[in-house]
Amino acid sequence: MKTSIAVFAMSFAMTLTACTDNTAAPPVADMAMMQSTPDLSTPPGPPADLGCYGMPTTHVQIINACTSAQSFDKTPFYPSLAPGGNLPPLP
Amino acid sequence: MNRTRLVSAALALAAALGWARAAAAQVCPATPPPCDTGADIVNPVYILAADTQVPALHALGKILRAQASPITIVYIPNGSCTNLANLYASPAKFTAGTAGGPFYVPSSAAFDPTVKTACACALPAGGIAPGMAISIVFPDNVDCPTAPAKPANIGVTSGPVQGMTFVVPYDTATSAGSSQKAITFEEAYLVFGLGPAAASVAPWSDPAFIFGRPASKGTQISIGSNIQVPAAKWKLLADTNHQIDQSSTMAATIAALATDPNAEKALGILGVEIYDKAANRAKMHALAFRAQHQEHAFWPDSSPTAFDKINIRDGHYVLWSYVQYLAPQNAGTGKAANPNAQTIIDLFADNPVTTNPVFEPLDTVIKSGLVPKCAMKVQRASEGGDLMLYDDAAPCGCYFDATVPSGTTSCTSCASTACATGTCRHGYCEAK
Repeated sequence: MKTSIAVFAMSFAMTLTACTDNTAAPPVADMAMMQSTPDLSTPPGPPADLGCYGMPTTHVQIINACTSAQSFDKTPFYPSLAPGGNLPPLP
Repeated sequence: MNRTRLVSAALALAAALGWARAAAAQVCPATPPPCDTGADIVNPVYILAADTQVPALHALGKILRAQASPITIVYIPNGSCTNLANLYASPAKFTAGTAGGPFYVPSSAAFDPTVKTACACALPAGGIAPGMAISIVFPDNVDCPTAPAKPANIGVTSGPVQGMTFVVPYDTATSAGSSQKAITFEEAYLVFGLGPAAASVAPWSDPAFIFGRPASKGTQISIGSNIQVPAAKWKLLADTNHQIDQSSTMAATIAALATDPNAEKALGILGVEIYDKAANRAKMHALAFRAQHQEHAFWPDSSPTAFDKINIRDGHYVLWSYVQYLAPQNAGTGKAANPNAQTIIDLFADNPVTTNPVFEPLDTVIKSGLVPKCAMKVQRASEGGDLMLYDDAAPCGCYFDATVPSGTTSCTSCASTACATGTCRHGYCEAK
């Protein structure tokens, strides 16, 4: 299994900006699906890229606010212990 | 590289980078003086110090020794939770930990604040009561579950922000080392929560090359809170080569792997202010971190080579905590019982202090790799807790931008002219 996991591809993409839209805010309904309180029972991966927030107010909006800072995109590597990105409880 | 060779290489590198105590010995007496009555120890403040804060204590301590009314910082470096336990004990303890001490900042102008430790002094037989303690995590029994309850007379002052980072070995001069650029919340959870071998998260699946700290250390507690793996549950090899006691040893260990064939497998953690030292940035990379529910990974700074802490300040980088200053207080005063301890707290927390000669306390904080609250745009109420917007009453973001290494600011200088808008603070026109 380790061998097969090791060959999973991770995709990387360096970007110079984190956002492509410095003004538009994602639909409220979409963001309501993201919980401000971390919950491992939910898929931990990021939501679909909904752009960035020009005027953030909540935690999720703040960490996804528009910025000119350099960022890095990385597709998470989920081994068999985290199928589909669902994290197992700590032992 | 086996474990013995790794440690040997780390120690050799530490010596080469000037971290050896011999550097401090140049201005220190051959025989450690008594910590309470030594001739060069004037107006001492005894500090239980988180080891990541030692550089800041050295820098401030040197300035305080040059004041008309000098203050001598005498400290013992230790883990945040150990510091809390020692301060909360009855009677409070000022005893050496695994990193030795006590150490004092000497009066010599030749003292180099970048040395690993200042001058050693000897505790008197009757012991000494600490005047204050420093923790880099919230001082509660969530983050330090084994600490006793905080006595009612202990006051807490939340100070500047310290970032934490995952680091991988990388030799900037030769481009040898790890190719990794980022780590996600999920990857960190799996590697440290399940253990590298069980998690099988490439390339960090070999426990021999995964490095953390003892569970009492603030760096691991703070990062653990952000990746939802409590410090005591980190799955690390159970030896001091992998649960590394001191930040400087962690840095040396990671640096020593930069040219090792196993560099790609290596992963460690550091306080950002330790990582920011030129010698460390030359031998390792900070990883960008992508928090849970975050779209992209970010470095603490606006780019891997910057020092502006912009992502800590605006909330794109969540691995940070407040430096917390604790001190016994006289009832009803809200001030430390030792007025010199209160002065040190006020200087770090950017509270008004009259000094002679005048100096800019923010410089000490900023140049130590910390972020004063006045430069922050976000805040949090618990370790690893959700971020909230923050609007400081007397912002200093312009001064911060201008003061960091290679710093620049687009703010208008008010050194010689009044601000057209906003308020002149620290020489720049801030928004208010």
